[in-house]
Amino acid sequence: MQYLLMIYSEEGAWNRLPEAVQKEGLAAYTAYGEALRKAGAMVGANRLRDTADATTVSVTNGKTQVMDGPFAESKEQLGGYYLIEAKNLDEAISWAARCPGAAHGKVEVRPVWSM
Amino acid sequence: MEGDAQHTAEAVARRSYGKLVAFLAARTRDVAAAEDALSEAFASALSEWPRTGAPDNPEAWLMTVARRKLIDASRRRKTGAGAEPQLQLIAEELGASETMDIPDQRLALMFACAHPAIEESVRAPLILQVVLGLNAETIASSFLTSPAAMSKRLVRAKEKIRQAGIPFEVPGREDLPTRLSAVLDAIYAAFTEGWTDPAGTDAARRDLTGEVLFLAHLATELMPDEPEALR
Repeated sequence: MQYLLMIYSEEGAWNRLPEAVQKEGLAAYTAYGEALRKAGAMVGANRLRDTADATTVSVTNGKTQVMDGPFAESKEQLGGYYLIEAKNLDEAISWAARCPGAAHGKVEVRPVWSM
Repeated sequence: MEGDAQHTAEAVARRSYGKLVAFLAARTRDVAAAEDALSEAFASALSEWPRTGAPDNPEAWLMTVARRKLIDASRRRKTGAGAEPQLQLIAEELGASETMDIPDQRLALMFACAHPAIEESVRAPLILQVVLGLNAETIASSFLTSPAAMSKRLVRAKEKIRQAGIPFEVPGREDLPTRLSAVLDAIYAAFTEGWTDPAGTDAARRDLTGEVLFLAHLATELMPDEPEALR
């Protein structure tokens, strides 16, 4: 099964960290991605830019509405994701627990709708 | 003769319900479909056994019929190409199962029901339903909620097991202690609810206490032989 691991964390917290800690954080993410690849579990991953750069789009009666900002304002926002292949939820949970995002934020695990 | 067959069917239902559900649902994780197929198999047993006599191995008979029902239901539900490999697997196993002993995966089923991804308050009702075959009405009366509400929550939990990919497995050594306590908590909760009628005036509730004791013995009996996990 495929699962999407979504990392929710406080935006801006990263920029307040000292440079050395940021470096460690990046190294942790690199190692995590490497571990996923090595296990053959990595399907895709990306870090997202802050919601300051987000644009929300909707179409009502054929009219496109474009708004500055994220879909929902909240302190913790989606900051990145990993799309992984896992045998079952327990395996996905153990990958989520190893994700550095679980330590500085929260990781939501969602099964991908299979066709 | 008719009474005998009915008696056999009821005895098998009580002894084997969870075992058959666990086995039928282990691959697909579709507990609801396994329960439907099994209840159809029990209905067939009640109409056939009085005429033909109860089979030598009632459990294997029920399993074979339930699996055919499962395949039929799966064919009806999805006609897409994705269904084929799964049907193939079930069909292959069907041939193999006629003679073999059905492995007891009830403990794995209990771990799925008491998984941390399942809402805590529904874990005990879920175990009572899928392992013992109690209906939503009986469970609802013990947990002081309406049958409709209880039924809805049970359906929702089974859907989560299937769609979120909650495994039917006894967890590994590392996770076993915490996951085991979730199972035991659920059994304990069921036991407490069973005692909400201490005078024993309500037949359905009085019966539940016995059922939960059976469940507790079963869990102990099936537990892996690792004393450190039981601390």
